[in-house]
Amino acid sequence: MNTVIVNAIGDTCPIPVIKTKKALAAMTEPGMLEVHVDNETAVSNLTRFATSNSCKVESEKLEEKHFVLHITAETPVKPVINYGEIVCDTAAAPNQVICVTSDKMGLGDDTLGANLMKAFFFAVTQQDMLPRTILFYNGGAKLTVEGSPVLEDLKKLAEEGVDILTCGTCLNFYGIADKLAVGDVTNMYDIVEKLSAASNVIRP
Amino acid sequence: MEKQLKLIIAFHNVTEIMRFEKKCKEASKPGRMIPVPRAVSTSCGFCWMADLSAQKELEDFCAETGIKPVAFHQVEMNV
Repeated sequence: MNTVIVNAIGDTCPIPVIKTKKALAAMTEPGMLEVHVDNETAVSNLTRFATSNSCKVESEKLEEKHFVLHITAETPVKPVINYGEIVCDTAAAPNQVICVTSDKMGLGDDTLGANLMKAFFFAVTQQDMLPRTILFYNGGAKLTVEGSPVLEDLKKLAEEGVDILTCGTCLNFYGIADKLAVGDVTNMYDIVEKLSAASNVIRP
Repeated sequence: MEKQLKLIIAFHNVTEIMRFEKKCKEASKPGRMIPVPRAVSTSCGFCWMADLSAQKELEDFCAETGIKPVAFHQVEMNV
């Protein structure tokens, strides 16, 4: 069984999990990852990540600020990071929320705005660090239903553990409540809580 | 997400790529419009992304529609 070494010493949260995920995704046969980190938070996050991706995990403290985790994948896996399980101690915790208020990006030409929104969500799928939540309300609710031009990207993000939440009032207002195709319906209390708890909010 | 080598077709300007997207949709051609990857250019713009196997079909379609591409690239993308 091959062993791949991942050096995440000095990396800030959640980079150790992202590096480990990449290494795990690159494994085409059963193997082991030896992940080196420098703090107990990273050990906890990696243990949760490994367990939730059906891997065996053991960890030990080698010395002050040096921990090693042995993560065994008995079969190749398609790893998924559940960002709800990742806890970072720093102020830069990855609790990023994207807030979508329209099916167009920006003001001006609607055709260009629709294309910009498509480009925006594709670009989100290309990021190493994904947002924890994407909120859709008012015209934004039209993007999470059948026929949406960004549905494919939103489904990918949902598979990666991103919460896709659409305002129920808005779906009802536009008469598309029965066409929701990705994520869950939410309400104003959840929206306020998610925005209040966010480390940063992006509004495309 | 997994990485995969993709075909990237660059066009002269946004109007051209938006016209190409419309034609591709009408003719059910493979691929989709995406923002230009940083590996291709740091400038802002759109391009067409498709599987590598679609290159010939899309080259022919460009010729058929008269929409001239600027360049064809291969770029590793998250899929």
